[in-house]
Amino acid sequence: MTAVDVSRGLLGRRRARKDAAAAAQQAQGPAKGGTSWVAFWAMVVIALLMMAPFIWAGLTAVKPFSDAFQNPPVWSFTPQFSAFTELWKGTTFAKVLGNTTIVAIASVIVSLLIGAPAAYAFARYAGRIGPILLVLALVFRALPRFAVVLPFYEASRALGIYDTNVALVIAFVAVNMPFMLLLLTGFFRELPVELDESAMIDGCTRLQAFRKVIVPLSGPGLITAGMFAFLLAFQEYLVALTLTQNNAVTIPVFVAAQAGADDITTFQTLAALSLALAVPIVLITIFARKYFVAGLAGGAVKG
Amino acid sequence: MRTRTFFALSGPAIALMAALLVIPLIATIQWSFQNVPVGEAGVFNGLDNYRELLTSPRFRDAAVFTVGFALVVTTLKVVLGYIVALTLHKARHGRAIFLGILLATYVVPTVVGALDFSWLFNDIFGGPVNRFLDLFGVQIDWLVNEWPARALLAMHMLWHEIPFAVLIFYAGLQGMPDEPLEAASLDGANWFQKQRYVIIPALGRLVTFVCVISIMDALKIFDSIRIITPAASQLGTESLMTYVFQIALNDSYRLGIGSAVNLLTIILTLVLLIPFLRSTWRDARGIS
Repeated sequence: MTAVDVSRGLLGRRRARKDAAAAAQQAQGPAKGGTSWVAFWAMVVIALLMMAPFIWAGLTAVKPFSDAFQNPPVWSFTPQFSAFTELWKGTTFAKVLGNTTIVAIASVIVSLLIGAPAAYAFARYAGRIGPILLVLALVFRALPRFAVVLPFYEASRALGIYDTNVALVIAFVAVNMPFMLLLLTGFFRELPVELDESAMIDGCTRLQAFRKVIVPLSGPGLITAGMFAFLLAFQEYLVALTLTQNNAVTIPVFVAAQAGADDITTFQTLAALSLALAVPIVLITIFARKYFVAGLAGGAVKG
Repeated sequence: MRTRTFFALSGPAIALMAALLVIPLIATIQWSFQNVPVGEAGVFNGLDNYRELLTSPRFRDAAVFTVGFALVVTTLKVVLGYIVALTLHKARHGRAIFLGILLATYVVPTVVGALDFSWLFNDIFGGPVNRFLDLFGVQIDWLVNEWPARALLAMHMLWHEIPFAVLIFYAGLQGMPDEPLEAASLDGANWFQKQRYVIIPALGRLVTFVCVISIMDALKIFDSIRIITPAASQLGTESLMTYVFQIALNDSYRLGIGSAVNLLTIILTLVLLIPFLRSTWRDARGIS
């Protein structure tokens, strides 16, 4: 299957005991002085363009209300932060944020508890059934979310868990599982088989070898997988929109509802909200870049 | 590892995926041949759903728009992603930081990114892009007319997803051995010839990979349309997935016909991926 092969090829090239990011940081002597400076400044421009939407939302958030929606834009103003106070006190944002965080943490825990042992099994089992199941899991990456989420909707209503955190956690764990398995299987394959073999010669059971030897050595892999599972709760709109109404609403659903209100007074709160979300995420991606790179290049099938 | 241990460790994950991915998919297939009002059991109605869809202009418009969108965005993504990756590869300093910044737009929730991105084009927010276009005497009502709205959605998707293509191509460039390029230089190849005959063929598999992921994702476009053009069905920016949402959960509660759209989308995805899967297949068998 394409994605497995290619991502494996990609990782394979990086396999020299470093993850993709470490290699990416390694400066390969730039060829000629002139062009590399041109390329550098071109990248500065590209980076600024990519950040422009966040910069503009940030400006909208901190401008006084009378200046924020002027056309042409006002450039000199005294920054003020009342939109943030309004966001925190005047809307249900605090509750929604709390809720999203709970769902995110719960889905990280559940998906790692279920996914990590399974991925370890996939990485170490020589039989033919392993790869077949992995490829089948991958097929779900190509399917439209609604193909599984419409039945979720019916089932959650029938079971009385519609609009609850439980339904969201179950849905997120399920939707994320193929990606998680692929990613972690890749990570576990990188660890030499001799590690668990010697642990088992020393008297460990297979499970103990996994818990006491493999898990402690797979920190970066588990962090990467956990981080993507965590972010899913903050990113996934379609699933949350379908399965929630009031109580279990998550950030994307809240943002979309606010944006749909089409009322200029809520726009500034919305700008504050997008800044409050974008800044931490931009900082995390810059500083935890190596985990993102490893996750995107290794799993490479994030849906 | 023994088969028993394998199933003991992977059992919960396999059971979970069977219960929550495979069974719902089977339900979707079943529903697509039924009339399913929400909360009630479906009634078999044969091919009625499919017949209704295939004769519905609204479905046809959504399908044509979605497929066209996926093809255009994928092409641009590969070309622009390759150019940015080359630039990044050549840059003297701060490549890791640039990569981090690029990835941020990929990781920020799509809903938030789409909102912030569309504000750049919205006069209520001062519309900086519009003010820039004013300098050239160009005026575009992005959110009122069909083609500007489509262009806006495409630009958003490129902004959101190019970083992924950049990352993959960049990793490929970093992993390329120097010798073929040096040999090409010795043979007197110019920059374009080196790109055409050395680098692009070496990255071929990665291009295929980016195309596959991109087509799959673009066919599923939903979040950004809901945010940027909420009135998609009137504006001509309705995609297959926003159509499913409207017909199954919003305007009417017809889960059966929504499921039929899902199945047709799956078939469409497979058809569009055939050329790429064939090239992978040939790769795998060592014929090229």
